[in-house]
Amino acid sequence: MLIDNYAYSNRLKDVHPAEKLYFAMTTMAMGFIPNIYLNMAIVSMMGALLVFNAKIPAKVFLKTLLLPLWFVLIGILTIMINAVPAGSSALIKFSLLGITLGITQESIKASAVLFSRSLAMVCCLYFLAFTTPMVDIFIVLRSMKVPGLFLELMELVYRFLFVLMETSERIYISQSSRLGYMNAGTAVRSLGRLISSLFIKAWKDSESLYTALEARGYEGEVKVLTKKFPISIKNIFLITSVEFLLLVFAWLSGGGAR
Amino acid sequence: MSEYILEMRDVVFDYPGGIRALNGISMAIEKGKKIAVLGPNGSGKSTLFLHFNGILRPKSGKVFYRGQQIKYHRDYLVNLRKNVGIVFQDPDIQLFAGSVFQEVSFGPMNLGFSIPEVEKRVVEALKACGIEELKHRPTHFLSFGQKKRVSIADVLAMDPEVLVLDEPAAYLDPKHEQKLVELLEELCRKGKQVILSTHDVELAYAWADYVFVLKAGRLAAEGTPQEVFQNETLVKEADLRKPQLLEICDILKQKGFVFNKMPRNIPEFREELLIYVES
Repeated sequence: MLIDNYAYSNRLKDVHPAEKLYFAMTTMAMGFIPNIYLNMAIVSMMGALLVFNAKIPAKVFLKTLLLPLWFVLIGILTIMINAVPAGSSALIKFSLLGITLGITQESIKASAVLFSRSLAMVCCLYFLAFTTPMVDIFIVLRSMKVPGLFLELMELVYRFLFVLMETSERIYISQSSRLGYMNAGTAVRSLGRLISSLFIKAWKDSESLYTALEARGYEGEVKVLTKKFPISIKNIFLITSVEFLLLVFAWLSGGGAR
Repeated sequence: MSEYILEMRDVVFDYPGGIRALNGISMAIEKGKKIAVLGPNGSGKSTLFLHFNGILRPKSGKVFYRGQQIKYHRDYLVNLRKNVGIVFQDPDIQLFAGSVFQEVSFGPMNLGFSIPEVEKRVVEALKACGIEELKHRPTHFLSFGQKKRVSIADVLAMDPEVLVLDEPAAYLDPKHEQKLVELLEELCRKGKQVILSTHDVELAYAWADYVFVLKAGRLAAEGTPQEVFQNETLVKEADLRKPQLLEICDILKQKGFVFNKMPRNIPEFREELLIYVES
């Protein structure tokens, strides 16, 4: 939710969302080239853009980068450590329950590529998430002719996620101020009640929402007017050349781990 | 004969499960009057309002808009809802879009206006509610008072003839309540018909031209605020309270004070006092 805050206040919020989406997606596509140097270049480029152009505090960016790191580390550990044939030239070998496990040069390389690639992808997504409010992404998706029903659902889910969070927080506060979370027993009971009352409330509220929409002439399709953004040819040109430079860089640095 | 904008005759309404919400209500709302509907929680105020624009259909009885009986088919309802706008009590339920601009544009878009016209209406509605600067804010970052004003702008953007507000003053701080009253005054001056429900007897007494009192799905009383609130037995029966200003005036009257006109708010009261002191 912290990211959502920045999405509405960062310095790149008025750039056309399609440009940002184009940039994030093409850079992501570049990231699939198996080249550690290229991936690291993407990570630093996205980091620099977020910190210097979008003015996201570096500390915040690094902290959010730590979040997926654990997943990635656990993931690559399983790739790094493999069952190896008895006579092979592994760097480290050990036996577990009669199976020889080991780390080979190839497995290190594979995991390094995977690690840098996931980091690069995460940075591309973070760039989009930190600079582009969801509302703007919906605008682009709509112009890309994503089915209306699907988009409306996404929009409603996004809006009511916050209402749901606020409501559950209010229930939680009122429960804990009546000592609902004093010990494990009361906590389990309180949580159960919180969830069930949240469900009932959501059900009732959805009915009221329908009434409120109906009162304003809703006939099965949510029609709203969206904000307009200026399209900058300069930006599109800039993004395309950056992607081209990345491609050149990948070619020059020669594959890295191959 | 005066003209009635909305009228109900013997309206009965049951919620699923047989809970009777309205139990034979007949009322007529005179055009151009500021209307307040009073009544305790669960007396049927919100249910009544949902009948005004055809969201709920009475089990028996009739509802009239501009002297014409409401028909429950699509074309008629579209036109009715364009003319009778409801502002709901909880803005968190009414507001569904991601940004304020999108939210307010929903009504006029449904009415099928051209894009520039919708834009114009949204900007005007936001201006009328004093929240132009919130135009591109995400809905979930707004305070309660701001959400409330967005929910009013929602309906204003549709430019309805009748504006129905369900408990508009609930949870508002004194400053925002004052602003709300000013906004309602402004709307009335512009010729909009404003109907609101409230628990706040002071607000009803100071603002309304005519009040309806609901109790247990029935109309307990109606009349001008003076008539209604001076009827002690009625006030007690309908779980209301006498407005403090009226109470003070009554005490003064007993002491021999003569009012030219019963004051409805403090400035009027001060004027009366000054006139009395000078004479």
